[in-house]
Amino acid sequence: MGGETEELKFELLEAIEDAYRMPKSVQIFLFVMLEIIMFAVLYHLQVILQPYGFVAFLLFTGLIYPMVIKVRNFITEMIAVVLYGAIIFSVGWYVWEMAQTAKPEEIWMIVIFLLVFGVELFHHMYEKARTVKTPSIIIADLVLAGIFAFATFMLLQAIKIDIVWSILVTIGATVIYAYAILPEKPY
Amino acid sequence: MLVAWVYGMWIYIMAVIGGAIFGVAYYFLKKRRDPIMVEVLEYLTRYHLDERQFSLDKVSEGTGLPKEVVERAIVRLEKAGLVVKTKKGYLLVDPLVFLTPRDYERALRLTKGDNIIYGAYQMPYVTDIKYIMLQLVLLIGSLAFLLAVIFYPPAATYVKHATGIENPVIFALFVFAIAVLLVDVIDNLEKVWIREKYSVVVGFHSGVLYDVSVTDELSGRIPRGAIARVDVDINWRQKLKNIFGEVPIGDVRIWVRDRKEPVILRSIPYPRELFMVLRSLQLGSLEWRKRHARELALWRGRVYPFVAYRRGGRRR
Repeated sequence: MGGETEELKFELLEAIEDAYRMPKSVQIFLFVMLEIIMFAVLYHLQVILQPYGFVAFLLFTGLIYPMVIKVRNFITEMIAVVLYGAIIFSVGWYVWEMAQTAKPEEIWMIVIFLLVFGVELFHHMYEKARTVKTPSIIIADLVLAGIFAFATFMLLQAIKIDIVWSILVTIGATVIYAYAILPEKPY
Repeated sequence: MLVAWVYGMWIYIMAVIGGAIFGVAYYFLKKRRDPIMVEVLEYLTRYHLDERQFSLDKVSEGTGLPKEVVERAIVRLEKAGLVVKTKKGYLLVDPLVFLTPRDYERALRLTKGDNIIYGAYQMPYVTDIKYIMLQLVLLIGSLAFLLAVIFYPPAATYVKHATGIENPVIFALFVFAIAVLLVDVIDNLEKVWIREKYSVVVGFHSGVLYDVSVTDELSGRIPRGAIARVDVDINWRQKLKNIFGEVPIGDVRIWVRDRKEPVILRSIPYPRELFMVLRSLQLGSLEWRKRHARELALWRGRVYPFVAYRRGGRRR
């Protein structure tokens, strides 16, 4: 038994999850390849120089980055937050431009999209934010849920839904939204 | 052409630069808290790994940090699952325990205060094809709808006529947002359902305990001396999830003496670590626990990077 005990080494990597992930070089290779493919597709469609082509490329980058790059360190986390900032600002501007000529119901749809997309993308890009429960995060989530409720009610009113149904749907949708964005346990 | 493009796109380029500045600023502001977390974790893992119980005064005295600062760090550790508050004070939880505080207390009660070195929930639904398909249909379907509306004019015309909305892209973005929201809710509900049903606990003296049915009280038991063989099995769906998902999972099979069929713990988080915990328990060798306590705790407490900080914020 003693010899066997000696042989059993609890090899702990600095980043414990590395044992389950692809090697770092493969992660980078896959990420670069996917980016090239996306660029090629947008170039083929001749939209890469258009605002929505540019936004689509950024969105794709934001979508795949946390899925492919699993290294957790100072640099990779900073890139994730930087990407989030860049995506949310450019998407925000893209929909702001659309909102200039939009009807009231379309404006409320845009507000709901931004509320959902902003939080969900942040949770996707920066996993820690999804699980950390601090008073400031809870207050921020509740404020966002309040804005979501107002936007949903205004949207339903804009498309002329009966007031009682509007209230019921608003309450249901807000509960779902709050449940989705409030901090959760990762395991 | 490049000048014309830059002129047409300048606001997007500015938005990207502005977003990047926002991202860098946010990240650097958040990092300032880490040195204290590292110091408190190092103290706790060095002096309270076996004793487990500690008070704020004791940590404050041991680290030389003000009590309020220690309290803030302990609250963060509590949220990360590394510390549990009890009536008698605080308890240091082993880093490989992923249970909720309520389930951790239940495990302590049922093991009569044993040293719990691993605790988690089996997650069989996470790789269940039905749930994956439901989420994929919602996500890919809404994304395909959005792309079709943007890049395929007949689809945009159809949506415009069917909904009466002037700009069909706005409607497609709205549908996409609702789909994303529903996927997140399905994921949350799945986790809640799992927590009700599938706890697994490994105690230093009590061996492996696991729930066998809803509202069970860890009635499935494998005493530490009865473990004959342990194996890890990761299927292709789990492998894909491990590569692209968040929490690594896999099946752990435990062969028990005098029993033909193994006990299978399905889709358990960090199966490799559970395997090692069980092997070391079987061999009576748990030195790794002390040797790697600091690194494990830093990893679990999400204190990045894993090296310590000097006061003043510089890394060494």
